[in-house]
Amino acid sequence: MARIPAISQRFTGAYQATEQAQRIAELQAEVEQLRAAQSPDLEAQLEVLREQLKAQSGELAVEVELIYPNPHQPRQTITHESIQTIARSLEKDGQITPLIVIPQGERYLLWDGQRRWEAAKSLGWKSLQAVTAPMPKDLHRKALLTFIHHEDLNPLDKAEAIVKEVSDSTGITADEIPTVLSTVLRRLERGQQINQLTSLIAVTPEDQQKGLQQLDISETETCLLLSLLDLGLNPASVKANLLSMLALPLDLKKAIREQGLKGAHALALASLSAKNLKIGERQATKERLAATQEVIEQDLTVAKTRELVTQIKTRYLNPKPVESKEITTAARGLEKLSPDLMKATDQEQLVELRHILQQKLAEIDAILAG
Amino acid sequence: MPKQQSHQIVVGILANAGGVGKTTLAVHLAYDLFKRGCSVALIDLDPQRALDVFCGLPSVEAENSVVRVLLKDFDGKWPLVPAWDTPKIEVCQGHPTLSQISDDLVIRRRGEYTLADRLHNHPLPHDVVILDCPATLGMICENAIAASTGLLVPIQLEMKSVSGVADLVQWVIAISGDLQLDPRPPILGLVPSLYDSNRAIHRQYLQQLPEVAAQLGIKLYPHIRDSSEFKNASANGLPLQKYRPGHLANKDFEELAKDLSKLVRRGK
Repeated sequence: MARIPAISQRFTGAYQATEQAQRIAELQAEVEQLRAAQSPDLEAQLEVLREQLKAQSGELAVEVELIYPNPHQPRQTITHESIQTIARSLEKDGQITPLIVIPQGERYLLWDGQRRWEAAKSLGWKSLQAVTAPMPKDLHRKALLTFIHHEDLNPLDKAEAIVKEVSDSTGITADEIPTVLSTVLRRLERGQQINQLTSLIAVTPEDQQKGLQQLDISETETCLLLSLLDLGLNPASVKANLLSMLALPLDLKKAIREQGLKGAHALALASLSAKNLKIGERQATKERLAATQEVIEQDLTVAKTRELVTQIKTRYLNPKPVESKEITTAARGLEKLSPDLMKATDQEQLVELRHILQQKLAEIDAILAG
Repeated sequence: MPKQQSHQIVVGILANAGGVGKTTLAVHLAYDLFKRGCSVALIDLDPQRALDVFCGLPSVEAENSVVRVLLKDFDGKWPLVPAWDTPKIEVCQGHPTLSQISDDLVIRRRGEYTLADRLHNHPLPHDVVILDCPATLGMICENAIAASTGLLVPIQLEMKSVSGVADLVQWVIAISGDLQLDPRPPILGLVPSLYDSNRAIHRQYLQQLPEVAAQLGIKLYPHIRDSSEFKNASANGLPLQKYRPGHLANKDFEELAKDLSKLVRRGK
């Protein structure tokens, strides 16, 4: 009997698609778990806070529609499934834990309970039990901590936010911070103590303090470095990647904010300065603007951007005369015009050629004379 | 006394080939579920309206068919008629103009979600909603997927149907992604249909199926045997369970119906 072809190979594409879908689902679940696991302390703190607030002012029913979400919600990935799970439990057992909200005029900023709120909305509930909290003094810091390690945040906003926070917590003025930081880092570099500083990022605040005491730094510098370490930041990379953002010319800052120019590109473009190009401020700005637009419009990579910057710099700094192919070709072409050929040519054409040659001669004279 | 709380499930029956037993599966599953105490709505999304024949119903005008539900200005009144004098099994009948509606859905806002939106905004009271889909993968099937909580795929053990199922599985995954369905409606099972143990190819393919199903992570249900009595029953507009209550093929739907009724109780 003839063999019948097996069916399994027909399913190769389906197997792959299935595996892929499965993998994606697993990753999503993993992300959500990580988000939850990331903040066990936070959960415990929230529990304490909730109890305190309840004792102070009691619970109240807040209209679901008056609540608006915290834009700095740390739990960025919320799957539909987890909301459904909570919705089912709300439906079955009612609301057990009150939300924490911050009254803002007639509305309420949601501080804790995003998923309960979303679930209640999906169930069509009109109100939820909540305790109210005053606006925290360090909202900026809390928001910052949430966002600081978020790579999508544009580096300029990140830099400004960090400077603001460091300035608030240390009393060093925003203007001084870049200078103080550069000075201390340069000194540590000279003393080959940078690695010692970097190793302090992952240790406890007490150990950070002890570690800094062993370095050759002033009190102000200690304050500044502690404050950065406290935010989980590497002072050296803050200086290299972020503070340089603050010194960017206005046109580049604007391009970052409004046109999504990336930090590394902006830094490369920033070297097109009046000082570097040895030209006037106005002309430098013009060059930079044109180059910035080219980078954005053509979506250039950092490497390509640097190449473009180098080209522009070369043009200004050592305009080396280059051998031009066009001129060689033109010269050869002219040589080929033999008297016989010209004699046989229509006069009108010769007149035109003479006109062009005269014009070019004048231009050449001018260049050679200048 | 309210019974144990139940949740509606919406089951789309899909196949990427004609004549593989979609409507047979829909109808007999409906009847078995009814026997298990579930109320069932059967929705005929196939312009060929085979469900009318299987349920012994005279065909209806478009305004009394599922076409009305999918029209832009649906008023929330589902056109339902009881099947086999059983008020707990109701049918929303099909109509040939469904294929035109399908063209219209392409350009309509939320076209792929029309059926899902209808079921959400004007919920049916039934425990189980069964969607009998057309054999051609298109806008109507996309609607069915978006509306379903789970899918069933009948598979005839012949190469045409097998290849169709392979494509279908891929297509369902892709469409669920495109439509951003969260959660994606899982394929609840492959159901080998029209099985004739006298045919070598049927026996061979039935042997190979468990491995395929395992790799796809899809449950494989017991096969439904082929029997001329199915044809006789449908010619009389009855399910086999009613036409020949003692027929062995009636048992072929039991495991599937049991699993689905469990889903209703569990609320998934």
